[in-house]
Amino acid sequence: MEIYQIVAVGVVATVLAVTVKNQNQEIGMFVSIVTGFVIFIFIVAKLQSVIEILHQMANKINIDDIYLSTILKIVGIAYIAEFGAQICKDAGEGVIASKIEFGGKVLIMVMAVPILVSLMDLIINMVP
Amino acid sequence: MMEGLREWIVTILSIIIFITFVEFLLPNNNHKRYINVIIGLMIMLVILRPLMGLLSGGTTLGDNILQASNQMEVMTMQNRMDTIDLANNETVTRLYKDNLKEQMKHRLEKQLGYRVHDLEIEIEEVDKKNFGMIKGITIVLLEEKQQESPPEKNAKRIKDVEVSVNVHVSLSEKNNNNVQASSIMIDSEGKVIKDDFSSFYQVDKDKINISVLKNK
Repeated sequence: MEIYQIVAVGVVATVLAVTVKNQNQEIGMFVSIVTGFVIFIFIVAKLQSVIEILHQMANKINIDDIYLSTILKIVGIAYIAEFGAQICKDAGEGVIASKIEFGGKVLIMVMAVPILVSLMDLIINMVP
Repeated sequence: MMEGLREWIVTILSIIIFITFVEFLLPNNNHKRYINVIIGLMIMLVILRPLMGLLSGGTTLGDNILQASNQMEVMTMQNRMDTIDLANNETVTRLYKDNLKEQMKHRLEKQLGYRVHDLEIEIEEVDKKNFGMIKGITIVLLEEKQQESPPEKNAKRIKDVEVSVNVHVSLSEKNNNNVQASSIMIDSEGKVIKDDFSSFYQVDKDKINISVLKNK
């Protein structure tokens, strides 16, 4: 069961970070960043297979690829932005964290603009 | 008519199922609101799609979205060029070219059903006003179309890999053969691609070179 492994990594890293933090705050932060990466990489392989299967399914039932890829891209952006912002927040840099979140929001909005444009196009064409 | 209706219903249902699935993957912060807005727009588009087919006569949704994002890509690059100094120009153009190539390849493979072996783009880099406009496209396709039944397709794919390895070795030779190769394909297929690309990316038809790798 992978969940044991993830929890184990997390708990060990937490104990380490708490112990180290009293002596040296920076190293505690490094420990938490590295743990974040390790868990992320651990889980990414699983996620990849799920996404692969979803793509196959979409191909089979012949729906437009654009829906799936747009939604997945948006979710990906949200996740990565969240990941970075959390690390910054942990290190006490709330300002940088909010900038990362801002960047994520803008990029999500950029993804939305083509959809918005075609919707507007459609509606304008529809009205005689 | 029946077929279209069936496809429409299947698309709506599968998109909604897919979205409910994705919803619990979402991180629970304030990105969620933005994502919900986009998902709402998308569902609206999916529902209105049959109307679009009637109104605009054939252009699909993917085309519209791709065209808009393409336009945005060009504008982003122009803006970056204005703000970043000349030393970084090359990086920005390369990024843009890669994006464009990826998009074209996707278009050829998914929508028109060809197998792409290689794709080169030339873009305007000197003239500041028309910066980023496409000057020429060279496409190298693999021979057969991608419409066989799955087991056959797999068998063919293995053959194709062998072919492309051969070609990698003689890449310069291939360039010399370009003229000859494009004359192999005089039938309608080349014209379909040229028509499609010239209307979609606003490129002159004469500037699109298409050649086919013979599968032997």
